[in-house]
Amino acid sequence: MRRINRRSILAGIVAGAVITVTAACGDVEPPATGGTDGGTTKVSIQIDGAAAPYYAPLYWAKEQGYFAQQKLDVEFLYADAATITKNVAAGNVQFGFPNADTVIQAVANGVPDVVVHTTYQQGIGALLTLAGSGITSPAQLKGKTVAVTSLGSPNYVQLTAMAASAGLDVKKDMTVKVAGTGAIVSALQNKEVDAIVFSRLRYYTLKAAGVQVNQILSNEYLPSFGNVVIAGQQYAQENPQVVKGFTTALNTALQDLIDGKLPAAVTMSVQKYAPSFAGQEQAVTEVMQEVFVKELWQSEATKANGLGYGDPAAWQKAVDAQKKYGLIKGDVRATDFVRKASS
Amino acid sequence: MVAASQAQTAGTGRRRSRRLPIVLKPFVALLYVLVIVAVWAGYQTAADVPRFLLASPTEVGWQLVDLAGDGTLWTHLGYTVRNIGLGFAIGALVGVLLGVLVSRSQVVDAMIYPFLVVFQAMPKIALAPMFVLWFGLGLTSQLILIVSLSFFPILVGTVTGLRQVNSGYQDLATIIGMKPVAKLFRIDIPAASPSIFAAARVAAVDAMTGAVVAEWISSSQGLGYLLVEANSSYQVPTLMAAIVVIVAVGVALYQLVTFVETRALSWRDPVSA
Amino acid sequence: MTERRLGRLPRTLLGATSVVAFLLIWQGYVKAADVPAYTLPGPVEVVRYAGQLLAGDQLLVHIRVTAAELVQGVAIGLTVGVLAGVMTARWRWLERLAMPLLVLIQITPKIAIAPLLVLWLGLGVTSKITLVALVTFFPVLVNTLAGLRDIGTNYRHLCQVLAMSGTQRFFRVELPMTLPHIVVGLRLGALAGVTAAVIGELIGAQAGLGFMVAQGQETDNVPQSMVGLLLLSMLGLLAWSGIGTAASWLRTRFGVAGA
Repeated sequence: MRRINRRSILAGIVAGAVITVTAACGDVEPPATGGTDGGTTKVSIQIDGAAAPYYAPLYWAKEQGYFAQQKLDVEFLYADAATITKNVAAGNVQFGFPNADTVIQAVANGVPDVVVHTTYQQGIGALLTLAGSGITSPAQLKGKTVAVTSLGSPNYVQLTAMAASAGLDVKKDMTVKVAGTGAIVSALQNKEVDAIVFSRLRYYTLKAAGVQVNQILSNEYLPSFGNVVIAGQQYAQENPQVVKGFTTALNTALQDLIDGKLPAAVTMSVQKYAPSFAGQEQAVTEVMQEVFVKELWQSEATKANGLGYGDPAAWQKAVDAQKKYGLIKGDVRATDFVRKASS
Repeated sequence: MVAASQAQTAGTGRRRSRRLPIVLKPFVALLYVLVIVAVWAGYQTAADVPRFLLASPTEVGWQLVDLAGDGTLWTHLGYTVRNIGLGFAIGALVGVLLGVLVSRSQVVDAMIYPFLVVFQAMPKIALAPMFVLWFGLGLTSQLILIVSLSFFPILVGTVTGLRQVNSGYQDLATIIGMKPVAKLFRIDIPAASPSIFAAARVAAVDAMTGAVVAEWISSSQGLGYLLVEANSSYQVPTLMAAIVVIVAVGVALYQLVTFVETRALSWRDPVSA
Repeated sequence: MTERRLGRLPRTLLGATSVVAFLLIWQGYVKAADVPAYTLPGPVEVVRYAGQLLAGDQLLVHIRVTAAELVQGVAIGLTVGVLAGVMTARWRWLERLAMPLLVLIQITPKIAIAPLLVLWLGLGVTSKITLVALVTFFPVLVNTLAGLRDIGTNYRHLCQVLAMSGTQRFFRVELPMTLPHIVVGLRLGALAGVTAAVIGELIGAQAGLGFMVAQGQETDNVPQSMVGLLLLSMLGLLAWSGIGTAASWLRTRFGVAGA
């Protein structure tokens, strides 16, 4: 409250100073607005985590001019999933690319987001264990220490579901520790814990960093979706052509990558967007070929209905699973916030 | 060290303390709270802020009552306050110790100066995940973060205070043949204490920030954890209730140090002070 | 206090020796204990990685983005802080009214309110600049106020005798005499500003040193995070010494000896 108060008092002075100084310092970062300029609409998409070649379809769509063909000028920003869902709903960005689990929680708590493109057809959560720990199935979690990002997070629910499948109780049969997203992987590397529940993509970055790990995919125990494209409810309603343009361009890029452009797209992504992956292009391409092309971007549903198809029944199952484990309260209908097909 | 020490004093010097206790006066404080709540509620209604961005004061109030009622609040609050206390105590000890060393020995000063400067300029929030990597998930890395934030102001305050010790006292100590250790405890540190206390007020608030940040990064307890959990599960009233409690803890700490300061320094000659 | 003062050269030498010793111990420890690079890379590895980063153009972009956020935020914090300092010094009631609120804002951990701030101000550079300005503002205000209050009554009388106007008094007497105090506040503010910029970047950015550190953490690239951290530290130190240099230039220019 004090913030607002102070803000209003000083707004005038600050505004004046901002203009002066910004003009003097030059424009370093364009503002994330959804303005239109000469027929081209400027939109921003906020991506979960940090720039990584796994987001190649988005980068490819921009670099190949697929967004431009749809009269879109797309800018990429990054943050954690919960921030993204709120920013999208608040109109700070037009699109988001967070994890579906977070989107379900957001919607259940009244954040007005809609899923416009179910990009990943299954969940990307996984139980990651150090190779030395010998954990290869949920039953072996008994007596072990497992880290999750928070006790209210989807990865805690994934752990609960996984444990339940082996007749274990997370509260009694194992020690659960909390480590934030910035610390959880370190906790595993450091052998602080025997296992963590986190993104399965970390399996590959960890291997690339020289850490020997095993993984058990959460999707088998708790069906979900990985990253999906979301938009604000109101924005999607008022700008159907922008949403359609965005998903069309994304689908074109996805198809390119599926059809053999993946190595080129990964190389470009590393070069222009994620230079910290330099030298790992080959490994990343292999991972993406195996995981993304085969399992994430495509499914039976997409073969029948097109890429990015949001299967209402599958979504409802994901929602119900969250409800079953107490992550969300109240009834949420998948059809209310998931768009089936975009193109 | 010199530049840094001068720096901190002007910001935290005695001058400021004389004006601040206004916050304390219960009625004025109450008035402020009422005004803040009124503006908050007004803004909420007038600007029609969506609930996922800002909860209303009533909602936050009830949430606070709920959290206090089911005991959640006290567990988290207790954990954080304990860590602040522990971290601050260690930080103060390290700070005074280093401060005495630095002002006693030019060699020590020259040797640790580069580290102090680089470390102090490093944003601790970005360093926090590294601490977890190096010191583990437990209390250790949380305490290290708190100590790393709170020792520096105390160090600077100690150095400044020791530099300003009246030379008359020094001469007196020499004349009566005081031993160096006795002189340190009976003359130097008491004489430097106003400056140390001024720094302690800053350090206490820094310790709280450290505790919150540490819990934010990795913890399953504490107000910082409550913030993260509420944020990631979209419990805006809880999120804001946690912020309110954190701010209250900060104010209380600030006042506590001021209170101890007035008590501890009551011996001071009002004229020279 | 101390018996003998060290000269500049021995002081620098001592400092350099201890830094070199530290680096050697660090490298030795990493080697001897066989610490993997994903936990703690040795200094050699960090330097090697920094060199590799410098070869690309990304690093410069990160530095530029954060530096720009810092400069703009600090400039605003300075302007507003000095103005507010002058106003609160003139009108005591304003000080009484505003100070408790300002202290409250100061006490609130910025990390707690940053997400809200970013949601309100958007994800562009504005939210980062605002955060930086917010943390710079307070120390500047407090020190300006302290500086103005410090001006002795004889100077005030002198101004009256010389029949100076308010503006004259401000620019010829008050501002020069308060300058050392403002510098102190500004330096503290700039250091806090680096942290604020990082917080802003953690919440949503596409470039910047804080983003770089976060990206390193996201991709388990510890050397990248460490290079980012060191550069942030350097940025803070540069701001610190830069402000000092600027201040001494101003002091010579206005012919005011440091108070």
